Amino acid sequence: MAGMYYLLLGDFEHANERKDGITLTTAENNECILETVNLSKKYKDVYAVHNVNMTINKGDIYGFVGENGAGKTTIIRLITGLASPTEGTFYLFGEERSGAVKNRRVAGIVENVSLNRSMNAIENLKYQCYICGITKTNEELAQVLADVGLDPNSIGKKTVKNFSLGMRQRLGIASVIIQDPELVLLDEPMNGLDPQGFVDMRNTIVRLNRKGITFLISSHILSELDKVCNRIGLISKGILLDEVSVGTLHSKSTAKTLIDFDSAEEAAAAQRQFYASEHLNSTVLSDKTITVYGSADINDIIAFLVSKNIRISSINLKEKTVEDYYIEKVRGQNG
Amino acid sequence: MGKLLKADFFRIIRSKLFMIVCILTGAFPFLTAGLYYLVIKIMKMPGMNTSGMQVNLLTGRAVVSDSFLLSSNMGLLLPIFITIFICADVSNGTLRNKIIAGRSRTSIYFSHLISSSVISAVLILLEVLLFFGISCLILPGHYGAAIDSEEIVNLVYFFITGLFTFIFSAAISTALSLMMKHTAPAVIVTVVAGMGLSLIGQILHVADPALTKKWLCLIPTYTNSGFLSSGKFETVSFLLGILSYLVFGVLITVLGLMRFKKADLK
Repeated sequence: MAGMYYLLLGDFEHANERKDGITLTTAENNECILETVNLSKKYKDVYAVHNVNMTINKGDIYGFVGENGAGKTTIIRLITGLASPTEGTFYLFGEERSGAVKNRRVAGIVENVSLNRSMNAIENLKYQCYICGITKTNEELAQVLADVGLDPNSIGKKTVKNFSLGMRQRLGIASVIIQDPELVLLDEPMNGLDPQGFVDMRNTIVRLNRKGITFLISSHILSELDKVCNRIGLISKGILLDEVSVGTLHSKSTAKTLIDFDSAEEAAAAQRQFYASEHLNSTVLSDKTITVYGSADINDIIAFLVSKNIRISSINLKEKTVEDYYIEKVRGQNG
Repeated sequence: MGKLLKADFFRIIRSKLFMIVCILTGAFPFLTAGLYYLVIKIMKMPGMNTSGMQVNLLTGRAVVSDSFLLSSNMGLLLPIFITIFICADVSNGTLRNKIIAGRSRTSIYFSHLISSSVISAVLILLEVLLFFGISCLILPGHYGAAIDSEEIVNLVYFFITGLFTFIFSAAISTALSLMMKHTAPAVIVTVVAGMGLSLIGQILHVADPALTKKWLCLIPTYTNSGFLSSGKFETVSFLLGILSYLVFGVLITVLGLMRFKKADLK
């Protein structure tokens, strides 16, 4: 499904990678640009992040998945120098880092979009240019705004405090890409966006990735990460549970089979039969639909239901999504 | 550092609050000197009983010297402006942008300190020059007449001490803003600190002038109070006063910087 998304965007190279699930990066090599080694952050006696070992390769769109308070933002804050690790270290572009990242190779949005509310869009970009020590003409700034879907003519001299949330998010992305970074860290970039905003944000990320920018994105919206990322890191209670290629995730196994029935009664009857069966007992009933988890053979399921004289309305196979994988892993972690 | 200073000044100049501060800075001398002028006029009206009133205190010299106190108009206005300006950098998240862009915390701290000090110095000089000019025009007595060479020396000493007072105040505001991060409590503590220091200087001077002459000029803001009551500076007191501003200013800056460097930022 995600591979199809890249195909629709015309990103054949990326689509292939996602489809075969072998190559992890969009770039020409697997150059590691971020590596954390036992990275930990402790507040009093509680670990917000504990012994995290992760790698991000050049060209990745790496998604961070985890519940509230899992430690996603803390890791991003550690990498950006906003907080210091209590244990462990990390390497950025091959150099060990302990504080602020020198030069403009890293940019990001942490927690909220950081903008001067009393300035207009162009002034905010100019301010960011001063901070980064770069010079851009007004035409170049207007082009960056256009790149993120903001029309410089229509927003005119409107100050940021009068912007909608979506416009602020876009301006935030503009202030990031104006720095021409190699690694961009985005913390919950989809927060507060409308459906069109989701699509625009996704397109922007993919377009920039094609230009060679590597992304680390944290989000609660797992379906969006599923569509845009090529690698996923699952984090829970400060511990990195797993790192996985989304392509591998999709190609390796069928996650679930959805069986629709004409009535809730028929669905309930089928559910009872499934429970009685030794091989098909991992099912969940919801109204007129039964979800069979695991890689059960669809022919076996149909044969089983026919043998029990139960009629089905439709049957569909679903690929494992990031959400399924996350729930499976977190459930496993919590016993 | 230069780039950060450019960014900070850009933000100050674009700020509406800065425009308000500039307007007030221009308005205070007209309002205060105008008020003095009116009071003098009223007191000189026929039939007015002015016995026991010290009309001779309503001079240009008095308004000029008052304007350098931390408990005066500008002494309240500038620390409040600086605190709001720096805390906005934290609350908007633009401080975060600076760190993510690779600026060191030391350069961020000093950029705030320098921009705050420069703005304070420029505005206080602007205000005092306006006070001085208006006083010369409309008030009698000091600065309403010719100024002798001794008074010029006093004025130079006083201007320098006044500038140090406000740079010292900017150092306090910067440290408190970056330590506390939240605007409202930072503004309250900054104002209380300025008022408190000003009061301590005045109270100590009144309490024991003999003792203060020797040692208490080492307390920041004391020297200004001394000038207000004695009417002239002594070179040693002036130098010790400057030294006290430097020592305490550096101390506050070091403490603020150490705390800011260690803090985890949201």
